[in-house]
Amino acid sequence: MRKLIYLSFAIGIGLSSCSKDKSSDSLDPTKSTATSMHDVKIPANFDWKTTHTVTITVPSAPVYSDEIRQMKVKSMDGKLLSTHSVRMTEDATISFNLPKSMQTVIVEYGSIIREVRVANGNGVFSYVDEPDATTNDSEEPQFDEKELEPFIEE
Amino acid sequence: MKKLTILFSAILLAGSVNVMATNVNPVTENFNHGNECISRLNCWKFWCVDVKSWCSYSINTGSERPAAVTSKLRGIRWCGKAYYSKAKLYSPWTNFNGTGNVSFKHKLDDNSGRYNKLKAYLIDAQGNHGPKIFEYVYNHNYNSPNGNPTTVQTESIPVTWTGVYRIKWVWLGYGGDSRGVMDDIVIDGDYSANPCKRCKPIIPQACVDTDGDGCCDDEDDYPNDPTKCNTEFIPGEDTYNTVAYEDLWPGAGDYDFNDKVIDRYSVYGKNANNEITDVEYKFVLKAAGAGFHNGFGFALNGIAPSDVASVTISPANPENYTVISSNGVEAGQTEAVIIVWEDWNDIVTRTKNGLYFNTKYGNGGEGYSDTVVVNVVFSTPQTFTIDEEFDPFLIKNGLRDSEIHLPWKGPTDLADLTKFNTSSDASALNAFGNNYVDINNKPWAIYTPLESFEYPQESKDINTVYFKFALWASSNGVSFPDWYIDMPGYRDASRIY
Repeated sequence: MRKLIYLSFAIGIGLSSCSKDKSSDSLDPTKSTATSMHDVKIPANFDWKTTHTVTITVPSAPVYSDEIRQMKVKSMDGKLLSTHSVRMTEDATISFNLPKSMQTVIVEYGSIIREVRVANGNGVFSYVDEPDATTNDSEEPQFDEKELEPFIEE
Repeated sequence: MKKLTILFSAILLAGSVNVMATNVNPVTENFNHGNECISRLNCWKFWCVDVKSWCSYSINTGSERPAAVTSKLRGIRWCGKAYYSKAKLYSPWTNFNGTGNVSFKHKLDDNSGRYNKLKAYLIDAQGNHGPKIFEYVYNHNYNSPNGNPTTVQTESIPVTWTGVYRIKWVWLGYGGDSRGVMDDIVIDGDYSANPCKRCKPIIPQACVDTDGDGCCDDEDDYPNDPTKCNTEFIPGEDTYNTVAYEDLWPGAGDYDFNDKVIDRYSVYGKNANNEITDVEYKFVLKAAGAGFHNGFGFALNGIAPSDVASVTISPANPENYTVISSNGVEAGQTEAVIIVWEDWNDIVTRTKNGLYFNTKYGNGGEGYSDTVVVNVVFSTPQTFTIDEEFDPFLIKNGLRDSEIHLPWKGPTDLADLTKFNTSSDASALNAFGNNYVDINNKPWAIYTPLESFEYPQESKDINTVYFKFALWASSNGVSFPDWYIDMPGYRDASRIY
């Protein structure tokens, strides 16, 4: 009789475990319970598009050089997506189609390389670095031993 | 505020080779932008020097106050010995022709220093330290001539050298808290630094434009083709993406999306104005999980047939039931339409016979497809958004009036509109909404834009293979837009062919 009670108890635990797992799956937004297309509730206004047009704004920079050079757009794994002729001294916009699953691209203009975040189909590439503490070096003089010049009172 | 003077010159050499040079003469820097990063972008180089606009440091007033300011030139003691503090400012590389001057203003910000000097040197294009061209000793004795170091000094050094050099100013100091200040630098010479190549020195006439299309050869993807400079790859260089179909339209399918699986790679050529001049489309049929003898084509949305100069297809389309105009687009259409193949059986080689093609193990057919290359040349450069123009469609079982498109595309002028809204189809056609969807907005075609689609085996509903597909669709595309890529928990690989 005692064995029977233990067995019932074990079965009860087993059933409740199964039941709990199923319940948590249905609540987990990262797991689908659909096993066929007929189970999927698709919003009437869903357009099924997997790409969108992205526009990257490129403000001009006050530089001496006025040549046209190539701006390269790459995926984050370094795959070349497109090249565009851009003059640094003129405002520019570059547009291209991008999979909606890609939210960041690499934009290169010669040795100027930026990661550009795309939000709502728009991004900004700036030639000029934002000033930060690393450029403000006059308050923290750096001494290179090789650069030291002995002080000689004249 | 002084403005940069920008001069351009183009030198035409013999033959068909254009050699251009971009010069800025003189090279000036007044720091009025107040941003050291802008100076750095123009290839000025700083070492213990910042651009500051504080009143106590200024040489000028108002909006012209920003100047180059050194750290405090106190000197240091190192291993028991005394050394000068140093601060350095480098000009961009400049091509000198032995005339003009190098002029600038300088001072110390206060008189608390003990020993302070400013020197200037030339650095050659190989980085070698050249001769000293200037030296000034700041005199802290008010009774001596020039005894007040905070008095602004205006210098003008005659240029007696030729070639590409940068100027290096060095401040030396020991004792006190003085800072060096410099402003209003004017260098008579041609700007010869390349801000896009780590500020390396460039020799004049570096821009060779062999084909004369306005793009220097080293900035031109096609240096010998005068029609184009730039390229756009869909989906990326040397990569294919996929359009996958259910082909029973307007009847419902089994949603394995393998009735026809077509990989596509496109290379768009663009001119110096970033207008599209031509496109090379490549197509590979990966699978045919249905017996219909489907054709395949694509419309170029927004592009008239007359905008196309020529279409070449290799291997060529047999043209049994389609009519092709002399420029290679299909006749009878208001938008340019290109028929890639009329029957998929014409472009595959079977290694194992069967009704289907690469969707079923065991008794299913197997083989490989030709890569069909379609070259489209436009009669005038186009400005459409690349990839938006691409409207691929199946021709159902050789019936030219029966097309199957992606939900946000089609039909073409040759489609029979009476077939819409029959059987399972609930297309909106000209109303707001999708085409080629059923009453529950379920499609007959999907597009995986990032990479080639690893499609389900025969009769395996896509939801049993790709676990995020339903979440993507039911969330209106917000969740898991990357449902088709190979990520942990995204797919059951055992159900993929």
